[in-house]
Amino acid sequence: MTTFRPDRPLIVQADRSLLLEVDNPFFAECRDRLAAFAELRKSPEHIHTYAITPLSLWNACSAGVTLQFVTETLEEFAKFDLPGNVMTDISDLMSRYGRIRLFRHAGELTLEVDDPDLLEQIGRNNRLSPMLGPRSEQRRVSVAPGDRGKLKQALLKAGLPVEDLAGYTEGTRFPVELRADGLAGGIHLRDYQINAVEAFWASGAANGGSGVLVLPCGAGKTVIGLGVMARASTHTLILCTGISAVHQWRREMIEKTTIPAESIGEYSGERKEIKPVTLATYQVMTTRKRGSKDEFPHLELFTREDWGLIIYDEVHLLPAPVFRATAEIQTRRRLGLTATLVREDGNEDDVFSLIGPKKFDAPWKDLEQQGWIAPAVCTEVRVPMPRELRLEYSGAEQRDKYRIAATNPTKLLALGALLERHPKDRVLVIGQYLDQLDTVAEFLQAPLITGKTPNRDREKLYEGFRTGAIRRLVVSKVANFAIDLPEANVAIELSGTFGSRQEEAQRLGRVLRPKADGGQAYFYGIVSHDTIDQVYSDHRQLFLTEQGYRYEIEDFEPVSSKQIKEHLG
Amino acid sequence: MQINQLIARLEPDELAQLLIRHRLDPHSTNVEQLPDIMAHRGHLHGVLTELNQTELTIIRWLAQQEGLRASWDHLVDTINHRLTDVMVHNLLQNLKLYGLLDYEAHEGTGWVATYEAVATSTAVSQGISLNSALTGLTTEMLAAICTRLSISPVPKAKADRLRAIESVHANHDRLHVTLRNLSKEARELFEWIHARGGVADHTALSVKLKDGYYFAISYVSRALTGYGATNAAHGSPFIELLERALVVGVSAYGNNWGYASYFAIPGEVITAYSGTSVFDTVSLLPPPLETVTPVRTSVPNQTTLLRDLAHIRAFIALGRVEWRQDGEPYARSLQTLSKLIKAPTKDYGFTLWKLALQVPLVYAGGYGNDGFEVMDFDPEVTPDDLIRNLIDGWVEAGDQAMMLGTLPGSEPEARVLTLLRQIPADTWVTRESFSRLLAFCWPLVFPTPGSGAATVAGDWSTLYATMLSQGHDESGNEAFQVVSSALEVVCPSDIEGPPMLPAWDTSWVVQPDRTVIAPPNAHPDAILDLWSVAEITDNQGASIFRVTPDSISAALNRGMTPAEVEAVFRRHSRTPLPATIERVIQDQGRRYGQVRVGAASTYLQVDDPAVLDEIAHSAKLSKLRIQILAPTVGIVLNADDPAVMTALRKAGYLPVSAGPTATPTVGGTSQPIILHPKFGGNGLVGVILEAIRDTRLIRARWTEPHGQTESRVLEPESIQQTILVAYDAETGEPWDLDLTTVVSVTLLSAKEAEKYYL
Repeated sequence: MTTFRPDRPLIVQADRSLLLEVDNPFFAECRDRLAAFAELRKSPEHIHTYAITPLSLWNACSAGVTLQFVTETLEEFAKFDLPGNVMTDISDLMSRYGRIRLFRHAGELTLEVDDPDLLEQIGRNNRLSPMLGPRSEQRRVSVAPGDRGKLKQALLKAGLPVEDLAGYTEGTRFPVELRADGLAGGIHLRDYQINAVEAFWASGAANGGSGVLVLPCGAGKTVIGLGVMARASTHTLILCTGISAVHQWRREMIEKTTIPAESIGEYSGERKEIKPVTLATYQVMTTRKRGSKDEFPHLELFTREDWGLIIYDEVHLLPAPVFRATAEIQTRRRLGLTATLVREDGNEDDVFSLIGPKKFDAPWKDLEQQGWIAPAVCTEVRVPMPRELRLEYSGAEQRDKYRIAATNPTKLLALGALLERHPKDRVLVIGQYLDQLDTVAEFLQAPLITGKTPNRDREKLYEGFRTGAIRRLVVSKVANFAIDLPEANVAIELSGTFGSRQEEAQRLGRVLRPKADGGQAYFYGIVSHDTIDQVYSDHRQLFLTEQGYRYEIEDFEPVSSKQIKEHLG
Repeated sequence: MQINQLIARLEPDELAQLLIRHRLDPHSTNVEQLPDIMAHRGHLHGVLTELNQTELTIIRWLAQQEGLRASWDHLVDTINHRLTDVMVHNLLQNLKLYGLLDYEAHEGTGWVATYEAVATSTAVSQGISLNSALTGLTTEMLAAICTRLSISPVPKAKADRLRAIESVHANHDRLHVTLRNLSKEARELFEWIHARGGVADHTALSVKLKDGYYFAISYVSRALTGYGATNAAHGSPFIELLERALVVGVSAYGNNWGYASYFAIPGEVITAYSGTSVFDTVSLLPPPLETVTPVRTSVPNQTTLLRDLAHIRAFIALGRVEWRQDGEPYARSLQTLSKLIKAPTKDYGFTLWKLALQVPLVYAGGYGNDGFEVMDFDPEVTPDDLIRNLIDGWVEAGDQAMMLGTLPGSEPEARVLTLLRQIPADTWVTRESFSRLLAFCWPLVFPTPGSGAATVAGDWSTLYATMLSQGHDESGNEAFQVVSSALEVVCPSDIEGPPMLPAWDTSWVVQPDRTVIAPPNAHPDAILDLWSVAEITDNQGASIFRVTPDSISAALNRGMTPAEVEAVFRRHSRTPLPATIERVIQDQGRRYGQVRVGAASTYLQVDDPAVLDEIAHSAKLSKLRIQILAPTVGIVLNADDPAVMTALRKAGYLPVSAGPTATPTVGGTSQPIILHPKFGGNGLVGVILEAIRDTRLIRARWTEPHGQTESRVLEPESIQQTILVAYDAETGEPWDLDLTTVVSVTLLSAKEAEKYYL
């Protein structure tokens, strides 16, 4: 008889994607079991989508998940018959894992296979053969240590996963502990943070120690990074998006760990310190040698010290030269941290193969329900364009249309109206265009932070915002990432980087730190109605709606065009 | 024996069985007419298609027996333990209940017999038999063959002569007597043909017999076609064989030996020559099914098939199909559908199309129209019903497209289905071994694989889509297995049970990210509704759609109102509608109709807005339905140019026509009222007729053959068919102007015309 169990929550699709009903008594149990071998793609309100990919299955294999577990899970929770090809594909893919192993044999990095024919096949591949050394035995071939990452990447692209058992360089020992009662009251890792640390660390085994942890903004990624550092207790290099993030890491480390301030070095445009824990910026790593187009002298930092752990903060922003350098340091443990593993360039797979697979993924809404991030109300506020501007917009070149619509002066009126709703809140006004931000800052009589603002001034303003001396802060995209402003509870977005989904998520993240009073966060996007601004806004919202956020939509109606003119002076 | 005798010996319950097997109503059939019905050639052929190979062999053997009768002992001896006694009894009883033979099963006194109509029908049904080869010859020729074979006395009737020849040749001893009496050369030639598989063509015979062959052929042409023989042919060994029907001509043009395509030893002669019977020539037991382990397989999923049928129905309903002139869809349309629904192959759309025709999902719109149209879905039809309807549709389509080579009523698809239901489920078997089994079960319907005959009921795409897994073994041979769960749907048991397939689900899940998910068992009407408001993005189990501004615009363009679009969502959505969906509907709804387009062929333009206002409100002109667009411009909704001119004149105005390229100008012109004429058609002709009637001048513009435009002021005189006869206003030169080349015609005002009259 055809299987049909309407009470079950899962639909297994022929392309190995899985649709999981949220409003189902088996949801939680099923979700927990799927997490072991499937990748959460999106989690909107009612149905979450998972994908069983080759990589997710091989990761599962490396964590000890068996084919039987996968089969039983799918059969137990599926509403309908499993499509004929799905189990065949899964069985085939899982059987590939472990056929090729990398390990150290007599001090040499060695590639080993079960089937000599497979080694023959690899040897005949033009891309792979240059990375193989002489054959030591029929089933073994030596590999140059510098090719470890590239070989793994190339084999993965050929559909041949490598079980990397070669282990890691432990690095120079440097004890790190989390403070139980530190300057800011110490730290106790939350359950999901412990799970994330353990998922990465894997008891220090060779199958752990490299990978990406995906958690929402405000969920404490830095703290998790500190937890991993405590596990590794080794010299650590941390790569950050900018100097503010460097300072924030430094502050957290001093507050929450036993690392003495003098052991923390800053490797940036301003300083070039190398200490047991060194914080560097992506920017300095990719600074070219003067007069040269090709050399990135600061990439040497990867090998100048005996690092036992490298942390990539906001790993989705990893620049290409750092990617390439990462391929050559596969003996070091590598931790990637991000809230949105969405690269607009579509290079998510490179992140997986060079930093490591996704080891942990906490859905935003799950953490919201548990109270670890603030519940957020997202609202799109649509404003009309003044007639003259619409005419200009209509006749504009395509490339200018977004700027015209995004900087629609009517947005100021809407902004004013929104601020009236939040007179006592800490509000971040975020925008893309500096002239627009200048106008807004002037309009609101609020301070402005852009890329031009000196770091010292930025810190001062951030500090003022944290203490409450400043309640409204106008910021450009420099504040998209890694700025910890826990008190901010309202973000108003005036314009963005076109349709960037990760930017939208990061901006929401600015207000998701849980509030002391348990209050909720508000995120507003002001868009010009019936324009390309609205189209981009739709696209920007995609990641968050897929994470389960709902956008309410409001229309803003200015009283009259006269009022607009009055406001604009 | 006679049919009457057979019927008379039947017990009442046996007679009832016979009537049922002959598809006759036991209550209304007159038994006295039964012999005529049973002997009817077409009817008998239909009955014979029910026989399996063993039953048919018994009948054929009996047809070769003298007097169409044999002793029970002879039958048992001939079968020679190849079948058990029980099997023989069952077979004979079955044949008796079909009314094809009668028998008494007693050792020593028992007998078995058939009658003429059966013997004739079975003999002509298949192969190169004596009967089929000799039927085309004249009675005289058959008499000559009887004489050569020492049959005495020569029977009088043609059929009896045929039967007599068959009896001699089917008997091993008598055949060998005939062969012994041949000349040495003829015996040697017979052996030579026999060694070649019993067949020899012209080339082989001419090489073997050299010139003698051509004489023989000449003889055949003349003697066997009634024109006499030449002396040179006498003594030919080939003629000896032909005159005794030991070798017969086989012609593609009926049984005319004179135009034989090749020559062959009849099957009965070959059988008797080897000392065997027809029972030795065929297997009397069913051939075994070959089981295999396939390497490539595809398993049908009935739920997803029904889902995809709903997709093609929606695809057609929403006008997404481009139709050919003959009403069939263009291949590219079906390939587009395949792509949209992420089908495994680009030809999947064709499979769906064929299936959609087998169940009432579409119907023909007729040639040159809009191809096929979608039918309403019967709300009572369950998924199980629809799958059964698909199978029934396949059977019925097979019946309608009755193939050449199958007998009336042979219903090959139904038989395939019957046999599929009997073979073990969930076991992979080769399709060829199944075909061999089919040929055994119904040899008169299904040809033996490899015989070269056309395949019957060979298109199994419906079966592969619904109840059979398809695969291939390592050598590439096709194999299949009956999916037991599918079989349960197709062949419901007598016991009423729960439905096998998931019941229809009419609901969707609408999400804030604007995706809409319809489950795999979505109701066809729910799928149709979804297609009408959203774009399909995935179809790997559940169907995933996305609501976009374009999809809502398309729905509005198809005539739905925003409220109707929203109602569709609310009707199916299992969850409250997200604001993102509501707003996209509202946004598009607000934009919808912001610009309106309508036909306006005639406009009025005035200098004084008061004039237009007066005209628009005039009761006399109300029929024109003038709508004011601007203070000095109005459009006429309800009349063409001449009618407007006439109406205005009757109302006391003096309208003039504007040029064809003129456009209304908000702000006034020098003319009091300007009428814009239509290009071509009545508008143009109307202006000319007006000019003729009022003796006015016109300015005509037309295109010359080389493409240039010419313009003249003319005084029109008349229109003769499509020719305007006119005079040049300047030179007086007569003009015959082809109206089909005229681009525009405008009336000259009195002032403009003045200079021409001067």
